[in-house]
Amino acid sequence: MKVIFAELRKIFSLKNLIPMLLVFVVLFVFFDMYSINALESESSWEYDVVKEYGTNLSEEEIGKIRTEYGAKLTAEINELIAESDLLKRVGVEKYEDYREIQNGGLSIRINQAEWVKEQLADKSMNDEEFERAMGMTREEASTPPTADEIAAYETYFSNPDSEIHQLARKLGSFDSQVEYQYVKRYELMEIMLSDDLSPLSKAGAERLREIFETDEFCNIVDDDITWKLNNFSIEIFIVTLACVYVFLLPVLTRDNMTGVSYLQYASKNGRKILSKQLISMLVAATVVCSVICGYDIIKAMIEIPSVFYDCKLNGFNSIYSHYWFRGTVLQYIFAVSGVVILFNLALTFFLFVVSHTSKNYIQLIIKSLPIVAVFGGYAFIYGEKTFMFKEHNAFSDVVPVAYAEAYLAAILFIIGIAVSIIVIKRNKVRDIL
Amino acid sequence: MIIFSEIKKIVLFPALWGFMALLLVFNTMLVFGGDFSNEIDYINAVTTVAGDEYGADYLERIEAIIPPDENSDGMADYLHRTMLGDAQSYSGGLQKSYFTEEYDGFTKAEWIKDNSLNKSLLSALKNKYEKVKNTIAQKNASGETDSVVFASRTSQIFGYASGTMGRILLAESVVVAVLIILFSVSYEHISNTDLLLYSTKEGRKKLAQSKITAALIIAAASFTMIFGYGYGLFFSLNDFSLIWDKPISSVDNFVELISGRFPVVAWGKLTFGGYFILSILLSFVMMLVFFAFAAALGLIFKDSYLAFGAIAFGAFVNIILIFMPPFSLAVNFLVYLLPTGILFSMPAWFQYGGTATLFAYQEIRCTILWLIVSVLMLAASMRYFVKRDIK
Repeated sequence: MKVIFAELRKIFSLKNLIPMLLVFVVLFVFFDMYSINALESESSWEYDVVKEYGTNLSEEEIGKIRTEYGAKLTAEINELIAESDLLKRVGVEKYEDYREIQNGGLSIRINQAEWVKEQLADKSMNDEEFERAMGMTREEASTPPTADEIAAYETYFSNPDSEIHQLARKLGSFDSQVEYQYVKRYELMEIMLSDDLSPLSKAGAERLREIFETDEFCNIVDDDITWKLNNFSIEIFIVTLACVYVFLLPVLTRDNMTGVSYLQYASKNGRKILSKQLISMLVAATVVCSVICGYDIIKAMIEIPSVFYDCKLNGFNSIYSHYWFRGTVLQYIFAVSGVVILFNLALTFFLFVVSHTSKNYIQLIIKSLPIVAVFGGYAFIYGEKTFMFKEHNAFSDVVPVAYAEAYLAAILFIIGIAVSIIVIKRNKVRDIL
Repeated sequence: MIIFSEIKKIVLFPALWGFMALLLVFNTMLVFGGDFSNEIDYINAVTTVAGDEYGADYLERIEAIIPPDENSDGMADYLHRTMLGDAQSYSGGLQKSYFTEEYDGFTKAEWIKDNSLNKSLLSALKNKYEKVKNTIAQKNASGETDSVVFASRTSQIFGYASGTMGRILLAESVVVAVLIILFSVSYEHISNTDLLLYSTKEGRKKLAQSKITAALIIAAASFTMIFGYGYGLFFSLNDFSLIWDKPISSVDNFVELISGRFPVVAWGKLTFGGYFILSILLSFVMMLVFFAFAAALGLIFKDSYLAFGAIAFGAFVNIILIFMPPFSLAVNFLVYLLPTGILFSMPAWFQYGGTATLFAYQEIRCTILWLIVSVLMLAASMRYFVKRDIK
């Protein structure tokens, strides 16, 4: 144990910590740019529904929500509309009127006046074709917007801060997702299973069918949450690997350069130190990964509203990007951290071999560059798809197997152990000259 | 004599040559990944019948060509359709309005505020876009933009050769040059002979100069090997004789960078072949910049890992800034002025380059500036190395 602690003290020296911290800070700033605002998730219809009705709903409960929640939002919007004189002046008295204008040509008439003029001048379209293409009649298109219409558009229709606008958006999203993704469930399933643009593997198709045909489909999870979880996966995968790499790479080469290793290997007992050095490197990697994962887990838990913690990842409103994973949001976060730690331990074995077999730093850099090139190249091509346990991701797109990333981590881990054992055994009998 | 001995030390370093061998294997894969024979053959066939320049009756001539059977060869059919599409959308040379709109977009009051564009950046942008408009007028008038050989998917050849291969070959040459110089200057420290060999100031100076010269010779040889093999194989496997002497500023030619897709508008009259010859020359100078920085850091730090780490970290930060979501246009312009940014903007060298350039011939001017800075830094570190106390 004494040797392991001494090695750990050596590993956790400032010489190793500073480069790792620099890499961490740069990557932290980079990934922080992609962070989403937790408050945005709290303004979604999913947040309201999960908060009020809970997670993992039955079909009856969804049916109840359809009528209750939709009616409640419509009443709230109607109340706000009734308070506005400006909306009354442009003919909006209830939500249906508001929606008609929102979906109609007012926005085009205000924002693309020149283009509307060009289209009116183009006589190649008959009236029917014109209405289909423009979403309004020729008569409507030729009427310039009034001052009230422009004011109402700017205050209530295009202003994201307007309460009516926010509620209408929420209701529109709720209606369309329930209508097109929940009610038309089996039609959607057939379309998705026969989609040529994004072909599914056999296992992927089976998983998708399972989601559609079981209660998992009735689950509700916000898109922002799955987006956040994707970012979480990418961030801890890339940040931990980069930090562990920079942190542990030079550890044993330094001993080789100063001649300490030759002194150690002069005795039979001294040669056992190498295996203890490997243990200390694994401990150090685990500590670094745990700290980074811990930090990222806390960050994710702050950014994800707590009502979603117990939500399963697949549901009708997030069906377009589904997961192999069957657990909840919180379970997913911990499972991803586990796989990431396994990847890092596998990397540590390879770093141990490279670091031990390099006589000087240049040799070390040269030997480690292929590792950087493979991981860096992979991150460059697939980096934005390294989210874990998803049907389409950087791993299962290459090997179409469920949980391909977990298998890959386990295989690399086993190879790493085998190579390290060979190196340690050979070190016990090699000539130190 | 010392130089020969230093060259021998580098040449007898097996890990370096193992690494070079790996790079050459990788480059072979890279070359075979860029097979453009279908595109070249089809363009060749079309231009033989319809001519190689857009003109008044070009559309009629290309429309008269019998389209390939959709079922017999999907690629030929696709190439025919896209080439026809390009001919149909041809509207008489490069359009000034594209650049005017882009410039107007940058100079909107709220855009200037959100993107921290200060007066000097705005003035540089104004000059650049004025120059672009004049260049386009000249090119349109001379018919330089009317070459059809970059139509359909042929512009991807330019993108692959400069954007993919060019950048990778240059990055490889830079890494090899940095490793060579760091190995050379840290060799005595690694072998524990530094205290003996660096005992006098005069000896130290002579030895350091010899080491730098020897490393420079080997780095230049490595550069020749990497570029010669990579481009040599690429150009010998793909017959580019049709486009070799055609101007790259064609209405159908585009470059893709992280920040977007931009039309190719070379500042001068630059052909496909001319671009590659110039870019190889500039790449060599760029390699020298990194070499000089590495030499300077290698002389300052005894620890070559630290010197390599400093260069790698600088490049890493530069790359991260390039990949950052564009939180500020000012930062976006400035990162392409740094050495790794210049390397990254290789497909946009000697041309307008969209948001990757701030002024004409930016890459040449900045590379020369960085070369001067790095050489000055090398001179200063040499002075420090000669004068420092040996411990």
